[in-house]
Amino acid sequence: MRIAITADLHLTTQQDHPERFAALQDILRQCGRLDVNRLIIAGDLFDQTQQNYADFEQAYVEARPEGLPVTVIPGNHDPELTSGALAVDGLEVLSEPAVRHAGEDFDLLFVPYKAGTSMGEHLPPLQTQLKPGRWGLISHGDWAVGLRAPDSNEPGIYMPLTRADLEAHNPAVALLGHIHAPQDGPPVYYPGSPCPLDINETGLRRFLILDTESLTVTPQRVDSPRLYFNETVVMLPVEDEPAYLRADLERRVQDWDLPEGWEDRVQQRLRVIGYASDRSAVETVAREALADFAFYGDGPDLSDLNHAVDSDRIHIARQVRDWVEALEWPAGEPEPTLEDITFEALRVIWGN
Amino acid sequence: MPISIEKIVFENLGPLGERTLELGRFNLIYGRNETGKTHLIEFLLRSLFRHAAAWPMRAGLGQGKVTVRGLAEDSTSFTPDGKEKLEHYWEESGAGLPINMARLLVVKGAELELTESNTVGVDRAVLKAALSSEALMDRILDHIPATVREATVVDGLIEAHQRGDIKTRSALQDDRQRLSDLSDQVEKRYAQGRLRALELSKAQFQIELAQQLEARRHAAYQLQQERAAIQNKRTRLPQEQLELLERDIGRHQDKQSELGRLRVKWEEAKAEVEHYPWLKQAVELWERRALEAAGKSSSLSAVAAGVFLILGLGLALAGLVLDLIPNANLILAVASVGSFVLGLGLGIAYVARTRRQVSAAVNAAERGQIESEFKRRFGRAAGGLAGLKAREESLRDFQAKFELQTTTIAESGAEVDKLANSVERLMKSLGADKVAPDAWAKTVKQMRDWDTSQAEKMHRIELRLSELGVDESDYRSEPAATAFSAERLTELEADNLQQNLEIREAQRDLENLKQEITRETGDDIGAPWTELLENLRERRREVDRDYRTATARILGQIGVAQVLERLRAEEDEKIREGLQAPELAQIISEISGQRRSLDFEGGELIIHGDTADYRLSELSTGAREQVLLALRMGFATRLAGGEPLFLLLDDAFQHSDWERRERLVAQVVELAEAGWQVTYLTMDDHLRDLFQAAGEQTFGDEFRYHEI
Repeated sequence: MRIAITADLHLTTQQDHPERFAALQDILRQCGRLDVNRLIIAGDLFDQTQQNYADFEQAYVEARPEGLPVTVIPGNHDPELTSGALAVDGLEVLSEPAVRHAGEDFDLLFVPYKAGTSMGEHLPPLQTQLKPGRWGLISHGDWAVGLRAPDSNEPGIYMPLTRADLEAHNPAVALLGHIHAPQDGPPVYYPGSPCPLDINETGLRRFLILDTESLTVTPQRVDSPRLYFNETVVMLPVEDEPAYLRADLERRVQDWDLPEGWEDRVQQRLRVIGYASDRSAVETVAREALADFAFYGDGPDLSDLNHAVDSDRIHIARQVRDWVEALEWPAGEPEPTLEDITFEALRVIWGN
Repeated sequence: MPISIEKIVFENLGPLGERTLELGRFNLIYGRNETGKTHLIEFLLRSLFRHAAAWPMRAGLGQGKVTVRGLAEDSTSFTPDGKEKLEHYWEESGAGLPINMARLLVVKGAELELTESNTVGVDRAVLKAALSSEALMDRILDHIPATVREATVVDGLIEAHQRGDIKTRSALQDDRQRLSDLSDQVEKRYAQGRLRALELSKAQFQIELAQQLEARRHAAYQLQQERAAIQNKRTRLPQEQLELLERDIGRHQDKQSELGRLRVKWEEAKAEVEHYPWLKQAVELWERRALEAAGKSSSLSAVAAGVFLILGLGLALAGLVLDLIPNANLILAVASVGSFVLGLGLGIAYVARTRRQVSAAVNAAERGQIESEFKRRFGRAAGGLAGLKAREESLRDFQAKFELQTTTIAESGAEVDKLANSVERLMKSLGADKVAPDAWAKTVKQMRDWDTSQAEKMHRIELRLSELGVDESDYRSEPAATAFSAERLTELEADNLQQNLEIREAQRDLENLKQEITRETGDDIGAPWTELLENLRERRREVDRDYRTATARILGQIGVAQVLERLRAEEDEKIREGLQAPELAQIISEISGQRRSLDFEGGELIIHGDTADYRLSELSTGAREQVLLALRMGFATRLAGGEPLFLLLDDAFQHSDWERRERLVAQVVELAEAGWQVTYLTMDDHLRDLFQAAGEQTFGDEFRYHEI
């Protein structure tokens, strides 16, 4: 059986955020194309601020493949959601923990968001209905308090799930909503928000497909009408600053892995920090290199780009850059990146 | 080919407006204060030198170009905004800092002067300040703590003394490790699910436990009911009556046995006394016959004997009464004794006579019959009347006993009957009607056995009740949902105890974990878990951020320090090479007129002369200034491949006294004569006059004077 999982759509109204409805419809249509047996929305289908169920129903009816069952659990933004609120076929809202079969030898345990509780404490009551290693947890909350980066749209800790809970109950996978940035840390997966809410939710969006036989989880790109990218470039007063910056930005855009023709849906925020001899040239290049994409805001943010004209300092900076690039320093959080180190070195060289 | 500025063309250059200045070998540009001299020098710097961008610039720098000859076959133009500068024409070694021709070719006010602090000698620092960018490097290094400057990076680790920033970073590392460990602990131990599972399990057990406890109460009730029923049944068999029955039956049996024994003896006595009536008649008959033969005399004798005996006794009693009367005693005593003796004698005589008369009176036939009958009855000869009477007396005792036995038997029989009646009545009252006496014992034993068994049953029930340990007030009449099982209850109680322990342990563990977190976050222990976890995460993020920043800063500083150390060494080497370069020796020779070379020894510049060596500090001020200028020129020439260049002096002699000004002007004249282009910019009239005089006198057409 193939189960599609998404979450955190934060639907409001078609008028305010049509892109979110479009992302949902894309997922529904892809479910039909990809022979998905069930779609799960793991919380926060609706936003807390404004909810228009009629808009949802219309979008759902328009895009839902014939016979596709859809299961929704409430999240921390729509904790009061019930089946009675939505008058559409094939949609089930589970407001209480429940087990559903997903194939012959696999079950899904749905744990809707409950304020002030932990995810783990909802597992034992239904544990007896589940076969160790042959069930998946669907819920909405925080996983691994110490491991993940904070979500600016979801501050605080909600219904946490810990490693101890997983070890005690042994699900094959835990597919969670709540964190808007896609995260894969088997057996825990966050599909992430299929449509970004703001500039802090960057990159291509996705939903997940769980194969209950092979127990594999594969990402599937969402055709989100809006995408955000947020880049910070540390500028060095190199020989050819425009070329340096241009190459850097081209590499970054390449890393976005943007499908062809998607440029017009991108809003990007560029911050250039560091030192350059020609700020206007930097701005020009930044605008040129990213001309295909809309800027989030007025243009590149150069407020932390310092003017560097002292050739001795520039020379020292280049030498230090070479030193930093040759530095064998462990990567990953919370270690500083080479750019961090370079930026700090530049501050020392320029005495600020 | 000497490299010199051919022409300066500019417009909109501050107050200078638009001008074209053509230059010769020796040039003087004069302008009063605020006439734009500084604009001009900045325009030149910006146009010609790469490093000039770092010089303070003022607004209103106009457009224009500076044309230089000697760089290529044709003249070369430089503009302020142009990327190409003079330095691009000279190949750099790559070592040390880039060529700073501006420092060498542009001398600003007072740069040639030896200040108060360095008048004693030109040491390495002064020389470097003049010839290289070591001062800049020093300024940068001043911002790097000594501990970090000495630090190294080996295999991804910073090796340094634990002081200052390094120590701070180490503390952050410790904080990170501690917070990371704590987060791991949270991951491992913050399992509300485990507690929930335990509580659920406990709840299930408690339901069963409650059911078992109810079942126990009901079981106790049932036992109580059972005991009451038995008790009730036993009240129908009152112990007192049963004991009375047992007693009466026992007595009846005893009496019956006794009666039996009496009857045996009675039968025996009855056989004995069976011939007594006959014997008594036989004796009477025998005696009657004898009396009839003796007549009434005999009777009179007997009467007389009796009278006299009674008389004797009466007299004796009278004597006793009259004992108080004098002389009466003797008379009465004699009378009584006499009467008694007489009576006694008459009696004896009567007996003897009677015996004789009886024997004689019975006839032989009757006696024979009596004796034969006696023999038949008793199996032996009678032995006459005496024998008969002896036998009769003997049987008379038996008869009396027999009669007593008869009476006793009758009484015992009545008592046995009475007891039998009592037993039957008791039997009936105890529910056993019409029980034959021979079944009494069995019946009463059955009763007793039943009662005993019921008592035992009650005892067993009481034991079980005691074992159940349920207070009577807690007995439950309603049936329980489950059957009571002492074993299951024991198991459940043990499990419940164990679960309580595990729950307490889990709760204690969570409390301990909470305390560990609050120690880090400063939260109140009563704060909700989600808040604690968020604050812990925030604390960790904060420490991570600090660690990241501190590490980046330290690594950046280490990188800068190591690069500067290398650059400094390269600069030192460049200076050393420069000092020993022939181009420098030539310049010095040209300026000083003597063949000299330079070197450092012990941090001081040594001038090797043809005849002797001198420390620079040992030279006169003028000589020292000559050397410094020569060094500047020499280094520039060397960088330019040995070609003379141009020297821009921005009121460099302004602060010198008049005598020294002349000497300095003479020096630059010598320099110009050696092929260098000298351009002096001044607002000082005296210096203008000095330069103008020297220029016109020495260089003729090669002297250019421009007033701005």
